[in-house]
Amino acid sequence: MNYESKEKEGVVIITPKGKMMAGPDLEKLHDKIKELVRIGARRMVIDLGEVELMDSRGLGILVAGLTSLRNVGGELKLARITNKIESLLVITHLSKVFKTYGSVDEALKSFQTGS
Amino acid sequence: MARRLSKIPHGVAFPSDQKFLAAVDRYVEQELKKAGFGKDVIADVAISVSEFVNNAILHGNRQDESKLVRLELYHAPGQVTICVEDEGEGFEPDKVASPLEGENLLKEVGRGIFIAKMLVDSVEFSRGEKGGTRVKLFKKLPV
Ligand SMILES: Nc1ncnc2c1ncn2[C@@H]1O[C@H](COP(=O)(O)OP(=O)(O)OP(=O)(O)O)[C@@H](O)[C@H]1O
Ligand SMILES: [Mg+2]
Repeated sequence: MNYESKEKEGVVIITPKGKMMAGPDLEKLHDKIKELVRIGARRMVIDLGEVELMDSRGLGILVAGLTSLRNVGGELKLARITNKIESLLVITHLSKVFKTYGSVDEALKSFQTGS
Repeated sequence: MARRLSKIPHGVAFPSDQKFLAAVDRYVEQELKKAGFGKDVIADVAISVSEFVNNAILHGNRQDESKLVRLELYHAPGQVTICVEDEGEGFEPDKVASPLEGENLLKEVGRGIFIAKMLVDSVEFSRGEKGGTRVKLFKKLPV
């Protein structure tokens, strides 16, 4: 897998592509998220629309990102989750932990309106 | 990057390094495709196998590259059995905590076996000849 990241309206948007599965490439994404938080990012959207598969490590990285951001008063939101990832969130009870949005724009808007 | 997996009867063996995970995933997908499995079933089995292979590398063999992970794959029409074996000290799967309870819900780790079990029809743990963990997973095609 690889990923792209950009900033819009004060929100970091990360778009991972391919398989969010354990391995050296996924750890690079983990390092990137940690680094962004360290240098001051507080609002983050992970756009999962191009993620084909996810395993426990992929989920672990999302949870780690969420908790590290909440610890500093920030928030991590998910956008464009596929059916496969949705069911993964449901079986792991993480669907009640993450805020999810149908599009990146909706996630961005929610940061403005606080919903 | 292509990583070499060694052929063994009915499968492959490789040193305990996460850089082999991608090659193992490709191997499993190829074999299941040849066996005529559909995309969704392949995805479920591939994730499940990857969870056990990753556990074998990290927890079983503790990334000691002199220790091997072995993967065997057997398929019959409409069903597949895959075994993953490490050279570690084994563990007690019944004592693994539920990832859904209390503070475990927000932990970074601890969901692998739980997820893997949800994606296939059965998972059995046993001990290999030298005391390591042997996991046998079974999946049949949905009818
Ligand atoms: N092959 C193994 N050898 C020894 N211990 C193991 C093995 N597989 C799993 N375990 C033990 O079982 C625990 C739970 O494994 P599980 O895959 O569910 O979670 P994890 O690997 O800790 O985190 P992740 O959510 O990233 O998979 C591990 O932390 C480890 O202690
Ligand atoms: Mg694991």
